[in-house]
Amino acid sequence: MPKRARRKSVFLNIPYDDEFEDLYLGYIVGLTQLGLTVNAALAIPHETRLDAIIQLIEASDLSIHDLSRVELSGGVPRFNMPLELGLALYHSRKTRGKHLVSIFDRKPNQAKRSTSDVNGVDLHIHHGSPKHLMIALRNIFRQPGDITTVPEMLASYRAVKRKLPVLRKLAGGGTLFAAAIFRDILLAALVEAEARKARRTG
Amino acid sequence: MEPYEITNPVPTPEEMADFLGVSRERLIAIRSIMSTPTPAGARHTVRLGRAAASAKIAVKKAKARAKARKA
Repeated sequence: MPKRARRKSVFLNIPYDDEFEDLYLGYIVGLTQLGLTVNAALAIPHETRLDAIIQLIEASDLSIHDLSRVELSGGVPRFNMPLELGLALYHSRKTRGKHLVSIFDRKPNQAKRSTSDVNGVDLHIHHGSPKHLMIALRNIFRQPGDITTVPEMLASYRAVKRKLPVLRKLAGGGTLFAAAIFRDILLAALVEAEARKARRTG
Repeated sequence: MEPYEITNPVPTPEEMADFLGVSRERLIAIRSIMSTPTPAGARHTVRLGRAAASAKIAVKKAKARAKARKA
């Protein structure tokens, strides 16, 4: 029996706030459709959060850090995303680059100005739009056979987004940044990918 | 930069559900949600998006203010 390829996983370091919902959904749908397992620090109690994040980074083959909302929140800078980026960069160095680190931002040069030490790290710009996010993800990754296209990823994103009210209800309502609905979105994206593949292959 | 090679195929929803520890009943519920057609109105809302919708409201408010100033 042929040995199955180990499933690649990505640590997703993004802001968890309502204004980021579209891109959050875009990341989950896009990465899932490319065949990656998404690890995110959702529903982890504050006391054990740092340990859990380090474990997630170490368990992932690569990490994506979105610095587009590193800004003041209630007069206090949001340092969590750069902190997690620092942990991932250290892990990447420790593993001699086996752990790939990619940074995403809204505008060109913003991350280079706010966190100038990251100059030289793989940087991608999504302009705050799911379409540009999908294009950037497609540019970073190559699949066996190179099948998933940006229009397909976007169509799946829209399909899952249309179903969000029902998925939210199924998970008991409330925020999208919770473990249960995160898993549901992930599965919904795969169900959609499967349907699209069936249509494509007839 | 060279693209990062993902060596594994896209997992099936069943494989992922097992991996995540999600029950088959829940996966069936998600499959059912995804296969149910969405009403046309909901599609329109999604296409507009929150940013576009709030931009439209802002334009309407600005027009109303300009009208009030003229009056």
